[in-house]
Amino acid sequence: MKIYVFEDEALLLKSLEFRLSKEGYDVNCFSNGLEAKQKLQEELPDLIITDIMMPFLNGLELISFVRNDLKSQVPIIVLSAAGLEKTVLEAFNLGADDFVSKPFSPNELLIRIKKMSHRIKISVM
Amino acid sequence: MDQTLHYISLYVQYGIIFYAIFLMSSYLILSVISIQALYKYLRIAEYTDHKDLLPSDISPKISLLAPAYNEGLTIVENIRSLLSLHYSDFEVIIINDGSKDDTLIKAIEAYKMVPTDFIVSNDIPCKAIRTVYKSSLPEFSNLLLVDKLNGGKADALNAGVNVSTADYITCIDVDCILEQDSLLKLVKPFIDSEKRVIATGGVIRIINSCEIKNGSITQINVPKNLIARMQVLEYLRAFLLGRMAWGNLSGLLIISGAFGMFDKEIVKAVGGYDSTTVGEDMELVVRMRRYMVEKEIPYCVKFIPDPLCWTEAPENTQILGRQRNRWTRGTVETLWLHRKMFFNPKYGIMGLLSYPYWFFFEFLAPILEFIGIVWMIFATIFNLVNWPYFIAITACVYTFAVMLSMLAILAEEITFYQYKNSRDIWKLVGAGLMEPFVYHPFLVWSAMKGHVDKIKGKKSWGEMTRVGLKST
Amino acid sequence: MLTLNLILNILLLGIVPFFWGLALCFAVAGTGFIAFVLVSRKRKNLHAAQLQEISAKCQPFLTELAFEGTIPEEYRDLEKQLRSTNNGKWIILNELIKIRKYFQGEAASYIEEYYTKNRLYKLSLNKLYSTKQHQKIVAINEIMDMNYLGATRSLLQFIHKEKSPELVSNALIALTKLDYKLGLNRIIEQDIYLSDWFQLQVIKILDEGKVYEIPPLVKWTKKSTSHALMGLRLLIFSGAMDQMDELSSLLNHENDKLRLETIKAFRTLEYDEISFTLILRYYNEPTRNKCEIIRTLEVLNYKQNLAFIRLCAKSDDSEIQRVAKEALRRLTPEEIRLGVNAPIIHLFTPTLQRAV
Repeated sequence: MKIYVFEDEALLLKSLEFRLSKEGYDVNCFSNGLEAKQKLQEELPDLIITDIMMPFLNGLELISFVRNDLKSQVPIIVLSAAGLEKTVLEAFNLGADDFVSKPFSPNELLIRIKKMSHRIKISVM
Repeated sequence: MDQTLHYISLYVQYGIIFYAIFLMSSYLILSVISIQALYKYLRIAEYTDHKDLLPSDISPKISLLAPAYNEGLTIVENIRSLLSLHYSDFEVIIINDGSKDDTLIKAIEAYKMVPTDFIVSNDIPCKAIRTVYKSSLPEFSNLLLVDKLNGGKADALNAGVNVSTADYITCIDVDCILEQDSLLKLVKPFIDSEKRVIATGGVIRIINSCEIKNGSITQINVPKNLIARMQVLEYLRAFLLGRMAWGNLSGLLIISGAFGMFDKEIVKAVGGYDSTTVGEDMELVVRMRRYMVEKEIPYCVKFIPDPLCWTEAPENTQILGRQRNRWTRGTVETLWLHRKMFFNPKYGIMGLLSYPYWFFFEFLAPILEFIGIVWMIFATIFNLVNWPYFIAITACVYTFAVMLSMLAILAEEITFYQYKNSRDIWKLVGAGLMEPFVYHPFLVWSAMKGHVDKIKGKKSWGEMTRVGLKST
Repeated sequence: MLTLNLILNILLLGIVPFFWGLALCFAVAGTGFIAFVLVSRKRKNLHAAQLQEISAKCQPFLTELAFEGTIPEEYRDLEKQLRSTNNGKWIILNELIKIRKYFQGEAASYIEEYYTKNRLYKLSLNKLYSTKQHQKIVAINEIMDMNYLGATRSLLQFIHKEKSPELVSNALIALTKLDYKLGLNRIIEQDIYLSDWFQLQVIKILDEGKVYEIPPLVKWTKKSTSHALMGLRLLIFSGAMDQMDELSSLLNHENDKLRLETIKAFRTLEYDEISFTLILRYYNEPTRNKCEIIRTLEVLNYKQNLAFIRLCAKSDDSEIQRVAKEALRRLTPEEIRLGVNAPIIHLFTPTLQRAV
């Protein structure tokens, strides 16, 4: 399963990449919103994990880009700082599927990813 | 006749010596204070997670005011980078100051702006506002666009203050590149001080020849262009060795118009920006400070040394000359308007130190230098020059100027370490060695032209042509 | 006249070598600065390269540690080797702290356990007793990030002795992280200005720990204005509705900002009964507070509020006018007819947002 992770904190990005690829996922990481946009135009993954605050193109725009411009229903998990309820609600309105607040519990994230991938399999069948 | 000339020559020389010693020691003292303050700031900042501000109800709302005049080429990109700044509760207010190009249409189209019946307060007088637009896209719900009649930068900012619904306003030049966390850093002093903070200002750095990708800087370089390179040195000296000290002494008189944050209540109380001066950024800070002193409210103005705002420096003498001409007029106007503070103990450090400093070194220095040069020519003709003395004092002044530049490079190196390439350091050293001969006389000349224009009563800003480097 | 001329001339001749000497000093100093830049740069680059190399080695096993709780066999030797030197320990500690910030739950406890088990706290405590301010800040932050309970007493002693208000604030925050009750009580006792930034960090810690048990407001208001403000914010944070009398008395406080926050508190807590008092107080308040009263009245449920806001909309002060008009605009015609507010407005209050 192909996962794109968009996150601007390098260390977190690295550890997520390391862990997720160990879990058997095909992980692509991006630290800049625009890079992400270009990559999405080329190829869509099976799951997107995105931060809200990213340089140049924020997570909300990214979600709106995937849903409205690319017309894709690929699952999106938002990974963002806790306490930004207004932004999170906005993300859900724009079509995000799930939200994990930073600091997060890695196991919880893994379970949520698994749940999402399960959903993808069902929809493919 | 000969005798009198000789005496005049002697007194002039003595006057110059005292002035020079006075100026050099002030520079040195300021540098020492600056470096100490920088060290302390960095020590604490290292363990400050500014992102803690993001989710809190306590962090105040901020309005970003960005006046735009004929920015059609870059407006869409520029708005985008403003919107992606890290902060939770902020509104971006773009003020279209009666642009003659397609600035307005481009912004409206790109962000699906729709007219709103926004209630604009009329606390500060400004030119008529035609329409206030709001983005209809949910992801940009914090974007406002004000379309008004042309009235200049100060007037546009005043319109922005009237539209703003926040307690704090940040004024920015729309073509600057801001660091992602610049708002967080600028707002923090407001909520972390016992005295009331009325304004905070950041460092302006020069972006020429830096590599920019998608609106953020990927590689910091020393400018290839010599004029811009000398400005880098000049800015380093001014911000790292000068303003940092003034900030620490609580005598800061100027916050760059390119990037500063203000307490809106005080801005409104003093009547906003003064659109009759060309140095509106300095004038506002001075007026706000005066207001606080006269109302006897304890206050402070803070300076943030982090490189937060990057701007394009003029690369040719014509535009640079116009810019400095304008700065000189701005300084003169501000000093004249607030002449009451000159050595007035009522205004504390500001009246006894900052104002005289600006008067003697910023206002008077170019004039004295100019007179000095004219005098030298005159003295050479009449064979009045004491050559050994002249050469010695020239060597002294030159080495001092170079040393100060080197100190600025050192301060940059041990604090923010922006120029990673060692060749860049050599380039800066080279510029520092050349500067007193080429760049500095030109600045003196531009300042003199500014004085002449001021006397003639010139008011214009001078068009600033942009290279449009952000479209890469 | 002639003698004066002579004196000046001697002075001038004497001053020439002086200037040359000065010029030489400046030249030497300038060269020195640049030499220092170049030397320190070389060392810095070397150091940075080494550091990065070791950090890169650490990251995989620390990630494993955070996700799994153990360090896999293949990394054990490397980890031991690193931990055997002081420098290695220092790097591991730094990496731990960086990675700790992202995680909570099990992952966080794995990292904290590692810190305690391998006695990395000794590094932190040594720094706490250092004479350098910088080191002290580092130590306080490490203890806090790693939630090292063993340092509680050391922190208390530190707060007692330390003179710098910045460091004391930091230590108080750390103490609150380790022991909520102890920390809050210590804050109440401490004679120190509690800035908004300080309050924000304490509240963040309480929020992360889901601690809603706060010392009563009275205790805070007795101390100082900034303590009162903090008590008020904590009251809002905890959502306690049992101290309204104390809260109402703050409306008589002399500090404008404190009254403003009190008005906000009534809005957040949705204490309808205060409406009438707020209307009575309105005329004595500065503009900022007046606006806050209007916003609060809009949310509170009281039949005379609407009429009052309409009155405010006719104010001469354009700021007040705007706030009042905006408030009226948010009310639907139906609400205006009934003179009450529908729950839709309540959705935007922070308490409910938190619930969402």
